[in-house]
Amino acid sequence: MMKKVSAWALKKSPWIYRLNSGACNACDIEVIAALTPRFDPERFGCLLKASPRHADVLVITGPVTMQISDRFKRVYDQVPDPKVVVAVGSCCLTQGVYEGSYSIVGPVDKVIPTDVMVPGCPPRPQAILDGLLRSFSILQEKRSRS
Amino acid sequence: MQPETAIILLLRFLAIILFSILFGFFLSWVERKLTARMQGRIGPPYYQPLADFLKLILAKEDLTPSSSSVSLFTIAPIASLVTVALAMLFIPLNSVAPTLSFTGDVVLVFFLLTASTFMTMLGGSASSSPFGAVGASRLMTQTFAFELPLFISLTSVAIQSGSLSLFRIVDYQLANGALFWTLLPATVAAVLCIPGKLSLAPFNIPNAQTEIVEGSLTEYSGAKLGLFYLANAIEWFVVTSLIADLFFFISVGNWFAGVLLHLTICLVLAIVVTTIKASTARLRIDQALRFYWVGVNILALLGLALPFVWRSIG
Repeated sequence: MMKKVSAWALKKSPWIYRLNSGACNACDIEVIAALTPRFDPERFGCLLKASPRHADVLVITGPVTMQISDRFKRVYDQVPDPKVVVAVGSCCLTQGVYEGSYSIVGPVDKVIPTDVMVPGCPPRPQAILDGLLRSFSILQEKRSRS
Repeated sequence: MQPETAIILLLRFLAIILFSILFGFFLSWVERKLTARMQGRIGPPYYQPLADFLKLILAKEDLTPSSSSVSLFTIAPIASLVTVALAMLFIPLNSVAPTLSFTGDVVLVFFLLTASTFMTMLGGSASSSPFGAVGASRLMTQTFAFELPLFISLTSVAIQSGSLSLFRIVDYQLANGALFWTLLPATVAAVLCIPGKLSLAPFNIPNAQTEIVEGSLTEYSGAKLGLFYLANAIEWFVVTSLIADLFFFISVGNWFAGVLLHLTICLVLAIVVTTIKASTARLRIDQALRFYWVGVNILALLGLALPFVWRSIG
């Protein structure tokens, strides 16, 4: 019963933290577009939080650069469990145009576990919103399984 | 004291606190929903504050930074919630007498509200995060800013009604009509202090997201953040109720209708504050200080002069 209530609350109140791990800014603009009044994720209970300690959903854009790799892991650890990671953009998935670059560690799931991937260069806000909604269900599942 | 009366008193405590939590959630939902509607969004569903709170309390991991002062970091949210819940017990709902009451309880309520803010500051300072520290210092400056006009308008109410007890002030208004018209400048000053107290735009300086992350609450997560969230919800109800009791008491025969009227006045105050919030941008801390100490203070001082004016006129 308690677990059901907490899983429900988790799904209905996913707070987002946005992190750029080395993107070209195109995906960031689309993520911001997905958070604007036109799409309004607050109707699902989403709030954009500035501190990773408050977050449930980590939205990541871009491939992981060598500079950010360690800090990236630290930010991931700062997000309290249960948490989900949404990787936005082709670079997160395959490194995209940055493949073979000397300063890139690799795609996001090489550094931290990724739950939802939204492909596109950059993906449309609708696709990002769809990815976010899927991640909320995964968040709920994680809670009910634990 | 008889054991039965103690139990009844305890039950009354619990009932009033539970009710204030629920109504506080409702007020903070109204704030979020109304802001959303004004921005052309749909906004969160009615159960949103409850879901947020349950998530933080039940589902989330509670992290404490290793470099923080652990005991202070843990005590601060609990103390913040307790002080603000305690303040709720002194507040009459229209003609329904408060659970606790004595001469001078207005001062205690104001002290408890400040203590709750102070606990948030303490938590921010104890978190060892620079954002927490900056948030705490801003919160302190802002508290200085709005408390001066707030206390002056309280003084004018005390002089006009001849009492420092909340229930006596309500009694006075029952006999002589609401203080809203008699002390209009003080009323406006007190209402303008609400956004400062609740850290809402244009006075969301202590938790300015784009500047200092989440202010004092930056390092908080899980249950402790949930307690601060709860304290904030109750604070909504306490602050609006206080203003409603001090200035907007309207007598109706039936106690139930009286409580409903009181809640409606709280709701109207919340709507006014939200309208200000949704239509303004954040000020700098020095601008906020000037606004309160010059603009609002002049209104409050004008209000302070009024009781003497009415008395000399007769």
